[in-house]
Amino acid sequence: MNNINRSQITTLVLLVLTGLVVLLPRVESGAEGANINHIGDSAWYAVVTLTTVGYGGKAPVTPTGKVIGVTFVLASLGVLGLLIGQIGEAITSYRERRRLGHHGYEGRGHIVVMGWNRLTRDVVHQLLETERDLVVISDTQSDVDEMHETFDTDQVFPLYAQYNDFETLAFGNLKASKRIMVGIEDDTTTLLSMLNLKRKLPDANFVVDAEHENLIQTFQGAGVEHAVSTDWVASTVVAGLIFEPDAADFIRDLLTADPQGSGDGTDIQEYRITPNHTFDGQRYGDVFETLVRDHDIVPIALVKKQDDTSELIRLPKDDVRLEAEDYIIVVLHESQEARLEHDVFGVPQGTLD
Amino acid sequence: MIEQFDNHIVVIGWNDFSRKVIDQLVIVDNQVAVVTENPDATSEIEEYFGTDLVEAHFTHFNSFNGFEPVNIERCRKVFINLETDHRELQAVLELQAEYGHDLEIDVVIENEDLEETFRVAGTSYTVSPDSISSKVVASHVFEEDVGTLSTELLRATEANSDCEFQQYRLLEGHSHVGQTYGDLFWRLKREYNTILLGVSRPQPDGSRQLHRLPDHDLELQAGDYAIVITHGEHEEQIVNWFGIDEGITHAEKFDSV
Repeated sequence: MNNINRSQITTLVLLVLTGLVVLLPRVESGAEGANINHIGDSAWYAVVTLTTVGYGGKAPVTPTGKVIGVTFVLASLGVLGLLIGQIGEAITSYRERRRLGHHGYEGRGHIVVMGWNRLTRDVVHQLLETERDLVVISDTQSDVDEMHETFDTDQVFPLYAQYNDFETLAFGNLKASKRIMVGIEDDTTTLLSMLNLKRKLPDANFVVDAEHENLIQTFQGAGVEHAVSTDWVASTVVAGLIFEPDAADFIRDLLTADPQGSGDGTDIQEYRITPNHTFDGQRYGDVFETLVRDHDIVPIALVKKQDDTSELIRLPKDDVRLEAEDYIIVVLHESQEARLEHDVFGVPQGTLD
Repeated sequence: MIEQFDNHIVVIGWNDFSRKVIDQLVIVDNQVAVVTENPDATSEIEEYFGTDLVEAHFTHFNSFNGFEPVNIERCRKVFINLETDHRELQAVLELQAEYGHDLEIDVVIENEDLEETFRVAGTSYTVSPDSISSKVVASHVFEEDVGTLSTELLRATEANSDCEFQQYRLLEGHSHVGQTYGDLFWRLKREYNTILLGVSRPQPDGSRQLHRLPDHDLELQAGDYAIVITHGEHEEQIVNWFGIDEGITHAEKFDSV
């Protein structure tokens, strides 16, 4: 029985019962010993009977009234079940909507990850370290189930949506996100989704994982800030491991997260120079010495941010001056990460803040 | 001729990924023997690369022996890139059984959970594309400049302004043999604006141990490799200073330590 039929039947039944509630006092009125004399009495009798309570205080005395009473009794078998069923369905439907994320995410400044596969799984695990809220979108319900089982939903908001259904995607509050990472496995689907999203969200900041390197420029032309080809990254590391294995192994260590948090590896991170920080106004050469000698970390680049543009200076010369809102990129042992945020820079790593 | 290749790379398995790897190996003049079980691929490979550095050989992969025609016993490294992790593991085990455990094998795997399995099986390096790419992608999301820089560091230097990871061997008699890591660190920084990030030290068993950001009082030895980040514009000066080209030396595999 489909939903439309069930709804129509329910409405019909309610109409009939309502009609009988109206009719009953008219039939009973004036009869000897009658105690259902107006609609209030009739409604009370109907509720008591339909809910199977049966106080017995009100009852029909006329033959027609008794027929109506029998109808209420028989109906009680179905009405209560129907009502309980409807309530149960509403609760289940509500819980299902919440599980699928269709009650909507209301936060702001979060990161959105579209696509659920091996790569995006790894990306999400790494982004969890940033303590940013994440909205993770998949077009497969079983993926959403997996996310609920795997992640603490305080930090990860799973959303079931088709990648081109903007109405459902809107539950992820994409407009208020800080960055949207698109990692759908098929490049064609990724490109189409990107183009649609870019039309709806022209100011959004996108990062895309593309399977084929030759589409990188296409994505960039479509307005993607950063497009990464998995194959290109991996093939370059492989070639490096053959030709310069130790250098390549070092890069691989820098590029591979340490999800177990053993602290044994090295990492590459960037930190913002806040206004009035001791480094603000200092020569890069002096800051370099301080960080190496006093903190055992090695700066390798500087980023000067002005308005909407930024300049990445690789291996800056010593006489470059650091300014507030610059970012410094460093290589360090992972075990020092916590200390850097609290004792050296006073801000968490990254550029999202 | 492929059977005369020496100190070359043997690539087992031909697909788009193999092509990308070989593209980069050829840039730095490595000889590459490509072994494929697709007979039509051999001419495609040789036409695509169009250089004597790359030759292709057809054979069935029912078992992983019979690679003498590509002179596998004189190769520097074997790179395995087959359709499934299962087949690759089979290839690793059979190649080592046939050609000995000295054979250096790198492999690309789909399931990163199998990295340890392959390491135990005897591979030198196991690469999971998703594992590496996920970091680059994640960096672009929350540390976009790190993402940009990481991507650059992965490229071979094409223009002098690029930044590159390199490794240079400390030759016997070099001025910094017997000096400390800290001495070398500050010398490279001050004279060449080049950053020393680690040292790779040969071990008695032929392997190398990589010391990342070691203590500055680590004493350097002849045969150590200095891992540096440098600008392409300084490369010539760095090469002259170390007295050797970047990378592991071509004779490295067959020399004693």
